[in-house]
Amino acid sequence: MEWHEALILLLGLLCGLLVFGLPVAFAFFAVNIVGAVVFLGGGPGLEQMIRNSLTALTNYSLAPIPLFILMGEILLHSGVAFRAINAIEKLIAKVPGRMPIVSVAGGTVFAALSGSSMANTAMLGSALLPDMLRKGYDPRLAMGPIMATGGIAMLIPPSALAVLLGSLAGISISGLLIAGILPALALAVLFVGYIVGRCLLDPSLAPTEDAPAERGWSRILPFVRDVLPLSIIFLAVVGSLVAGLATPTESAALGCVASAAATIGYGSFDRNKMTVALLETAKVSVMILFIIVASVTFAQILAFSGATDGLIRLVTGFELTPLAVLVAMVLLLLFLGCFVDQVSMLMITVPFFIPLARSVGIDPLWLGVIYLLSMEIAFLTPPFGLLLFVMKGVAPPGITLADVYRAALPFLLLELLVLAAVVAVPEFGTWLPTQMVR
Amino acid sequence: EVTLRGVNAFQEGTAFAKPFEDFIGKVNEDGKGLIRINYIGGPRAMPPFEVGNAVKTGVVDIGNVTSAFYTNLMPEAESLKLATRTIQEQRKNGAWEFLNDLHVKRMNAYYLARTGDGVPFHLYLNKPIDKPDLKGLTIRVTPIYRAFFADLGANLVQTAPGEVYTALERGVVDGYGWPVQGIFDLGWQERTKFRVDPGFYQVDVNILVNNDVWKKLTDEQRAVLTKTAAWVEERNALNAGINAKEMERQAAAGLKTITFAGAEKEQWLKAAAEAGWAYVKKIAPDNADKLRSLLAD
Amino acid sequence: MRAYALILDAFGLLAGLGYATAAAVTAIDVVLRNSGGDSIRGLVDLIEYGLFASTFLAAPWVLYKSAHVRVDFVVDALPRAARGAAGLLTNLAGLGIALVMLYYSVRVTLQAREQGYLVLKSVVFPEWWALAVIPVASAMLAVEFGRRLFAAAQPGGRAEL
Ligand code: NA
Ligand code: NA
Repeated sequence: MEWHEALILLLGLLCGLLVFGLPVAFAFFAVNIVGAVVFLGGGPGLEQMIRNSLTALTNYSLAPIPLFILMGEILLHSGVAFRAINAIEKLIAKVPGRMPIVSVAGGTVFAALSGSSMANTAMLGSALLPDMLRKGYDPRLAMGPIMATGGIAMLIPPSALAVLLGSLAGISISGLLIAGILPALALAVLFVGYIVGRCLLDPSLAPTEDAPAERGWSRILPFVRDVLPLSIIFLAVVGSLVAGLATPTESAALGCVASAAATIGYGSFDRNKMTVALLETAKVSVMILFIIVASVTFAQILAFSGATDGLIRLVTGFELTPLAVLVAMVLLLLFLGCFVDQVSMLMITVPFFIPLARSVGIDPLWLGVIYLLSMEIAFLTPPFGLLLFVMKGVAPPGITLADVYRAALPFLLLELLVLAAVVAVPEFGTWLPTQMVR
Repeated sequence: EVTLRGVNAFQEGTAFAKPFEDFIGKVNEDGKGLIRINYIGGPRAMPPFEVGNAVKTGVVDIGNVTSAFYTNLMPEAESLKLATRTIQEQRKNGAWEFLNDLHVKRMNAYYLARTGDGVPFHLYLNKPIDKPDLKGLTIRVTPIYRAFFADLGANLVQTAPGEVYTALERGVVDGYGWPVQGIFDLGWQERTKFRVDPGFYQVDVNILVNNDVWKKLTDEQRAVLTKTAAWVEERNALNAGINAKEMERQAAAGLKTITFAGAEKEQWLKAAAEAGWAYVKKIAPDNADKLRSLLAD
Repeated sequence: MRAYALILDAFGLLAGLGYATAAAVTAIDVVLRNSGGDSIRGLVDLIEYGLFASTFLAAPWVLYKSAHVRVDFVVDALPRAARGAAGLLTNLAGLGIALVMLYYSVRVTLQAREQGYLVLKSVVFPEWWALAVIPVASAMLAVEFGRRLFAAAQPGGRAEL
């Protein structure tokens, strides 16, 4: 079989199964089974597939994934996160579009404490959305910032997806974790700027009678009490990583302990709530890791079928500049991101992009940051955008999926802007990690 | 013409992948019209620790893999790195034949060639030591070094390859074991201060052929492989020169050497050998003594 | 049916407790090492194999909770009857996949056992102990896909995924 026939067979089968609604993990398994029969010699190939699944998961660099998710779930279900958001709400006043700005500020703070964008969006959505709608904010201006800032959680450490990318692609995990910070902060600033600008241009989007009643110390006290101590958690993760006390897995473990300690400190440690946190962590982690079971065999089949080498020969045959290759990769990632989840984006592209990047000389860390931003954008691109679905799930009944899409659109454009900036100026993504990690 | 599917346990283009890549190039040239090896690739095509099993089951026909990656299938493979005789000597004194029988029996593999002869392993450190004693040091190990460094009192940690650079930089580990060749492939020289001399053991990277495939080849096809195997094994003699160049390069990158001499050197090398053979005895009690007599003095 | 749900829930909770334990023990390990003590022997291996076992054993529970991510926007746009057919097809496909995995994982596990494959890391143990997790999980997945198929085939039943 020619390499392009193999590629069409494998990816075509994958798409077909996905479209019929088979869970992503099982769609990959099915492709692996067919691929093992065709390209790995039948029975022995299928046995190799089983053994590969042991290899795929007995991988210490994947360990931060459940731990980073656990941190966020502990803070979410104990109620500590809600207290922090309330405190931030009291602090921000006298700006046009106050509550949406609270979403961005609170979401960015929580992004530094949680490794999961889904948990972040769910938390902000349930904490702030009903309040905003009751106060008379335009639903689009209420929902957009929540979804957009939810995505920031995967850029700022801790980040389960950064760990997954580093581990699958062989890019420095510590480097990737640090690399997301600058683009994330730029995004937060752009979001705030957009909200203020929109509300100045069209005051009907935000209510005017909208300021916290507290004055003076009682306005600041909740922030000092409910938010500042949480910086210990961020320090436990990023501080231990940068100071050289811990590897990424270890820093994730320290983050979990710090989150639990904070929960106990606020008197919010409750057995039932913690059980829910553990179950939610297991649900999301197992969902991600079960897709990873298929990763080794999937990459293997692409290599054995000749598809990997064939496609790389084809692309390098055009003698494009590294930048042109990178732009092509970005476009493919954005296209894929419209239809599949973040883990599948990695699974499908990493076997091609990493050897290709090596052969044309693209800095892996630069490519890594671009991966992260593309995955973040994919959270918001219809028709398949996980944060869009989370938002629809927590929004009141009157809100349609189309409303949610429209709410996300302006923020999506801002994210594309930052992505373009990183493509144009690599240092925007790679400067901070080279300062801090090397 | 028969086509064999070949995979490499090492990243394409790196130090221990190259002899196999040269081997493939020569087989494809000399064996034109007779035999061809389709080089599928390195770890992206097959997890390194699965190469042995894949050769066994015939998912691949020919693989390049160090014994440390297939000790799960063949515990006796632990002894290969402990050899003090060259592969040419092993072919003469019956060691190769005994090992080949074990490969066939345990993993359905014909033991075609051994590269890496004459490339020793070293301990690399960021803290100086003045005698063969590793107490108080945290060392990153793979199974190759575990028994030896543990005997010298080191605190052992496993670290994913991708995390070693950071672990060194941050002082999470004080050192690691690695062959004299290859640290530049990983960039670890940037975060390493000392190499401890002398080296110990020797690298073994083996070219294995699925035995069913081997038996099905014609005599002419087997002759091409055997002749090229002898050629690649002769090239092991080049390793001394490559090692010397690599040491110069390390020195140029700022690595200093800590050299044991006299009684300390004896103690260092003896501790390495005894730890290694004690472990072989533990996991392969029946064949350990015979292997030691065949491979080492 | 209640017992079935309880068993699956137990595996989910076990996975969560496993993560929490891994976090706690790893944190202790960091503190020990940075205060000049020894690392906990075998911790990395334990976490690696724990990650593997918890993922496989809790996957049927995640399936039961319909929490495996899937692309549903196409199916949701279909008319009711077509949606039901897609549900039947995907559950059937899932059952087939689970059965193939069951058959080959049993073979691989038995091979490793018969031939005495060993895991030689900081702890030494027979490889089949780890591999045996896969047939157990595959069997549970097959049961769960079968249950969904059966539920969907009932009059008034809904093929959910
Ligand atoms: Na985060
Ligand atoms: Na999307």
